Amino acid sequence: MIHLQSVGKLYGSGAASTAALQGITLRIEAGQFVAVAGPSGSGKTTLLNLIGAIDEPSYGDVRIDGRLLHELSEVERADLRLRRMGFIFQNFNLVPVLTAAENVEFPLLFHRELAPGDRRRRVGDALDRVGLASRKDRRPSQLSGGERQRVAVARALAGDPSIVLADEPTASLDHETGAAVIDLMHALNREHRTTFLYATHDQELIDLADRVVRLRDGRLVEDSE
Amino acid sequence: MRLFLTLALRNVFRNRARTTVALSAIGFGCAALIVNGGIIYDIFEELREDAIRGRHGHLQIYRGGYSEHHLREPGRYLIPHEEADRVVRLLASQPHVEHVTRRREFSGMISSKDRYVAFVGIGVEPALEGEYSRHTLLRRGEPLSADVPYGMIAGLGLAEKFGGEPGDLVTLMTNTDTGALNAVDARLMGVFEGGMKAYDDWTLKIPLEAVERLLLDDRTEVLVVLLDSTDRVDEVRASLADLFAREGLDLETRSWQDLALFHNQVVGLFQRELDVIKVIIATIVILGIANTIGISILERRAELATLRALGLRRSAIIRLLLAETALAGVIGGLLGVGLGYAATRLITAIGIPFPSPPGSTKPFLGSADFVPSLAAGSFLLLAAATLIAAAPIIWKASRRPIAETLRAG
Repeated sequence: MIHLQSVGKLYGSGAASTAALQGITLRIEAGQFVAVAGPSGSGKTTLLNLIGAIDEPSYGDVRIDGRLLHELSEVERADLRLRRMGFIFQNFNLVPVLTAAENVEFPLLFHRELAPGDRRRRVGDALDRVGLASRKDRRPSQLSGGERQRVAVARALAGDPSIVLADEPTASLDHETGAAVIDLMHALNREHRTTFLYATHDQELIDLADRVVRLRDGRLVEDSE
Repeated sequence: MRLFLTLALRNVFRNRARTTVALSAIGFGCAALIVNGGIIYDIFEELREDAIRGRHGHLQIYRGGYSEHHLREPGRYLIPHEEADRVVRLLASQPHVEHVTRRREFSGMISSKDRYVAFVGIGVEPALEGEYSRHTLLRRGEPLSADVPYGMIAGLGLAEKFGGEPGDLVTLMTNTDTGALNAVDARLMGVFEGGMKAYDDWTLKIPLEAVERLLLDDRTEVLVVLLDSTDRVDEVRASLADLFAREGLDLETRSWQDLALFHNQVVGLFQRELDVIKVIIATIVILGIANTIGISILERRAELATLRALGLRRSAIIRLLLAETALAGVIGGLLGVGLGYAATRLITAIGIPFPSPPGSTKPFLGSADFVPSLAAGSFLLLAAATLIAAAPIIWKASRRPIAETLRAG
């Protein structure tokens, strides 16, 4: 389902260029719960960005369901992200002027096939799954860090994606809350067979994954598969 | 759509201090255009009424061919007395016609004491002259009277030239249609100020009866018509053309707009000035708010990159930011219209003393008209200026690389 073949990413050009990723070959099947581990600067975020079609590799191929991402137009890549991907960010990245429910609903506005009633039902279901139905009308500033990240999880799941990419989703949370978020993600993975990839350098959170892909200096140094 | 607009609206008021600055710039710009335009339109109205109520009336009726040929053959394009009476009766019975008066222009010399001064005379009907002179100030003396057939009034400049004061006896000399020299004695009743210096320097008015005796000719040169509303000039002009055709009358009609060259020149000049002011204010607003909009979008770059990561196309980001900018433009514009309305009312209540306009002799107390079409135009211009200010910033923001922007935070 996700297939990277000899993928590399360079920042800068010529002699001053820095390799963020080098020669990554990786295959992740549907429904896997994968931790992307490694210290800061090891290339975890870059790897997730390439899989999420929000960045392009300097060389190599990234395929999602057999489709080569670099052959897709800007609009096709946006549509792929909208319909197939969910994103969870370290700093939650919620829209501060929208309530929890509105944050979850906003990306669904662009699923043209969804009737308003279906859209609101999906929002309700997603917030229900993360246990925030009672706080749906709160704005992000009125929620705790853990609650904000759960809204972000609900937002990622509401579009019914087949892949969820979470970049250091627990980095802004205390350890206990972070573990609860990972547990929630894992439960959703088991329940819906959604593929989860989450980047972390916390060993206890790494241990919660079914599969661990470890990076160091932009290279794949361990794959527990 | 509702949520899309909700987000756009909430984003407008996200940073209140910045929003206040942006909306104030748009609002004050819009209000400035409304007030400036309102003052100018008030001047236009003043000049228009000067031209209509002081000199030309709404419509003037001549013998057919008068406009083109009367300078070469002045005696040929006059309306016989009986026909003029019939036309007056016909005109008076038409809808929207309030007054009709006969006039005859002539020129000659005034002899007063030891001075001889050239003049342009207008023979008028004293009983109706008040209606045609509402915008004429009588500086000294008394107005024309039907009871004093040889009593005249002179323009301020002309009176100065021959040193005339109310009560003075003068002699008016002119050539008749046959070329003979004729003269009458007249009494200077009063001195008037019509508003245009060139007019006041040369013009005198005297009852038609005296002019007919002076010229030895009772034909009418022009019938001057006042309507119940200036807005009906074109409508009545068209209906009079039909009437004259039906009645077999060889007459031509000219409107005050055809005759008021000074008014037309001033309006043309000020309209152009108004256009320049619009461009200047729109440019100031664009420069003033571009920076504010730029900062506000720059601050949200991570949020916009997040939305694109979630699957929004560039076009959706552009639509969202354009909707926010358009809302700011609309809100600022509406504030400006409200502010402009209040300012025009205030100015009208207080009154601004203005010196006399170019070519005019009358200083006036200016007010500001609230002109709905001008307010709508200013509102649209400022809303458009807001979009123009934001367009390049929005375009750039929509094209920022997602991953790089998220990394930079």
